[in-house]
Amino acid sequence: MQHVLRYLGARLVWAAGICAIAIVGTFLLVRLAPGDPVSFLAGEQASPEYQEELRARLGLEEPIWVQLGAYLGQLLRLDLGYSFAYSQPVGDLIASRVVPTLLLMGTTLLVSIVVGIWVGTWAAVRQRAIRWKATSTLVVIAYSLPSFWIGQLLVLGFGVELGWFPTIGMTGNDDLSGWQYALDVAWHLVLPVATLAAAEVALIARLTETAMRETLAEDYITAARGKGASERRIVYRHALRNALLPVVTVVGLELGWLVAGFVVVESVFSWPGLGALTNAAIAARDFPVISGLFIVITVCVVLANLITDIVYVLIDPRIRIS
Amino acid sequence: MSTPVLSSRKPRARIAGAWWSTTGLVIFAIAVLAAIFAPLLTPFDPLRGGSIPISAPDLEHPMGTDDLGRDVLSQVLFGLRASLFVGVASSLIALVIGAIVGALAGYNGGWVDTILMRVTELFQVVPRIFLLIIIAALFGQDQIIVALAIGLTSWPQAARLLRAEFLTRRESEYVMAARVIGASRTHLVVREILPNAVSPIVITTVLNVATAVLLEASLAFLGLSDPNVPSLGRMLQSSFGFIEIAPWMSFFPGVVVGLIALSMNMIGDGITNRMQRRTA
Repeated sequence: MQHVLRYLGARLVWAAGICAIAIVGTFLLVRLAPGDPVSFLAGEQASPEYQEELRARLGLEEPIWVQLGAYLGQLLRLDLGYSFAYSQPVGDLIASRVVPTLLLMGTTLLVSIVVGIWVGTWAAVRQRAIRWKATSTLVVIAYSLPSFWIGQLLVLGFGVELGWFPTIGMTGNDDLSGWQYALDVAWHLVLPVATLAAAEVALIARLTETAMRETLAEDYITAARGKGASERRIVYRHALRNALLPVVTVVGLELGWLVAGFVVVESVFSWPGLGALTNAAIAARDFPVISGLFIVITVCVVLANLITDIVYVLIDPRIRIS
Repeated sequence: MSTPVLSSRKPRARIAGAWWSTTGLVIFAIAVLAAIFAPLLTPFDPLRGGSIPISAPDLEHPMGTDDLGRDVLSQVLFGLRASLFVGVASSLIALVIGAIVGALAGYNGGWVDTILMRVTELFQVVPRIFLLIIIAALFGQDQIIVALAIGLTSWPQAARLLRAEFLTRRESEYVMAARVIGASRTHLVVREILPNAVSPIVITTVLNVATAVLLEASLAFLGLSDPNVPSLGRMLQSSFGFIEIAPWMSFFPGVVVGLIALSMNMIGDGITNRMQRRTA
């Protein structure tokens, strides 16, 4: 137990380190870039008065490490700057968009892990079936298509042509309450989740399939067969548990890629989350929002990685013992 | 007869048969040729309108025209150039950085290894798309900067693979033998160990091209590309408002981006397959 705690402690310190390096790195990038850092940090919509005030506050004549100290102090007070395009503090703006994105990401992860592991296991077990050939081919194709384009096709097919699913926003009617509201949101979730999950399912299915094939060739699987365990038990109880370890690792590492997905896909569906905000901020060259989003999302991804580490400890008894 | 249950499970013939990677190579070759000979393949200027806006595909405009009366086919052909340049250039940059970091970490071990692997992990964890957005927004959006930015953020995979290869080879007998007869460090690294790591590195680089093409399209879709250069991602950005009345404006550029990425993934599959067969 002590060993586990020390391990998690070390991961926690490292996670904090990554966040700190990312923040300092952005700070240095802004200073390195051609042009006046004030116009970047204030955003193009900022008033001249604010630009002057910011220039004084940043202390651009001071040595760079003094500036860095001031910047970090500001961040520690959870002050991410002010967005002139939205006339509100960046922190408040981001906070108001977090829930839709978490909902979208959470649902996508859940769907892709469940479906991906199921498809991967299915493909690994039916080695000689012609059907897995189709699955493997589809997997490669899904992983090669730009997610926002899949989204556009789904909008066209299921939204415009068939009219089965809504294609814009998170809810069609703000007056709904309780179950009806939840149902309406779920209804709006279908197409964006399908878009984002396509590549993720493909990746997880592929990983699971590879890991399962290796595991099914192990001696202890032979032993389980020898003692007469049912095929179902062998696949789900003996093999899958071990095959999941590499899957968990890669899912953790792939979170960054999922972020790349929601940034572009949210815009396609006008989903009111951080991705659509990113797109709007880029269009408006609203730099305080862009750098604020970078910091917040980096911290979230690092935290999610930390959770992956904990999950790893939970499902791999070897880490707990050794 | 003896072990009926398990021996019946032969190692599967992967989908990645020779025809699979050959198809990938053919698609990629066609894309490269189309990009090179783009001016010969279409009479229209990709950035200048002049035809009837939003006309469906016909003989004159096989992929239709967009809202500004520009020929979609010529935009796709010239857009291929940006996609392929960014895809290939950034993967080569990633290959060089990954090779240097991986070789240094794996050959030296110890604290050099620890530090370099921490840096590698850092680059793997930080959400790459945001890093790219910030770099493109700060330093400009021309292809060279985008290629550099993608290259500078996609080397960790190659570095990890090479490091693992070096760690295992470093202590192997033939490397020891070379060291005993007095081979220099450079000789050991470049001539003895590196050739063994070629296949995994090539696979990673090929797959990186696919990812880089998709990332370039995403950045252009977000508006972070040079407006004076035709780009498949930018086409997909402007086409979205017309998806109901002019679906061809979205369909063709998307298919082409997907095909480039797919062809690289197919080639990568093929090499993986050959490598497995050789070691099996």
